[in-house]
Amino acid sequence: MRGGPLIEWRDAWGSPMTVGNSTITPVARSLVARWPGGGSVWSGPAAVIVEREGRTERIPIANLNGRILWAMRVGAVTLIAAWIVKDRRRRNSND
Amino acid sequence: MTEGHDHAVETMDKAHERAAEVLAELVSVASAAKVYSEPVVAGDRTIITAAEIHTGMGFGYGLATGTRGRGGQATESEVKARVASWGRGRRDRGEGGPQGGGGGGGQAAGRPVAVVTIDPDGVHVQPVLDRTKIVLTALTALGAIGLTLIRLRRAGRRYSVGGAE
Repeated sequence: MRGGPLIEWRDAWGSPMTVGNSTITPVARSLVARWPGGGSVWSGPAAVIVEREGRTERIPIANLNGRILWAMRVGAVTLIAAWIVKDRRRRNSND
Repeated sequence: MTEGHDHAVETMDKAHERAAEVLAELVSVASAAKVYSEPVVAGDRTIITAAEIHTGMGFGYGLATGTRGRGGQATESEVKARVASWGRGRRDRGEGGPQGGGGGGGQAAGRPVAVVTIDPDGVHVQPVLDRTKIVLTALTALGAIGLTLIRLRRAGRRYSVGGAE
């Protein structure tokens, strides 16, 4: 499917909003994947840029849910793969 | 080829173009406006919620150019009738001529990630934990680990009984 690269990371800046004496600019991060029969897009928050009294601060937004879920998935797959490899080695050593 | 074939190819091209348009709309999710909510003011606090969004779609189609069994190509009206019937569950055992079909699907999901609070003390980011999702993922992971362990043990027993002993 046309319209851009196959896989693309992009940062998108939102419109700044003024709250009190602070200006907040939200930043989103996206992973766009395209293939001949379709595509997939993941978007999530990356950080907020805070401008206050002449200072600019970038406050990152951690995706705690995502980290916990991926840690569990990767942990389970690693454990299963390690068991399978160990089992095969044991069988080969018995032959 | 025939006029009917050209019409079928043209219809396929239109379907492809429409799918490209839908994908372009899908990519519009990759913007800060979709990830962050509008600010909500409560007293001296302003609250913005941030969410992660995942969307995906896929489609496929095919076109076969056949020939009629008992004489000649399908007429344009026959081809148009078949093209019009695509996706309506019609099982047309026609004698030939261009035939095709297609289908597609998509999904979208969103989950809150954090709450950004702006108050006189400054800007605070509080993560949002989706406990249900975490528990479900943990149970699924434990289930997969348990099943693998059981299968490996059974396979080990079979191997030691009928294998290399």
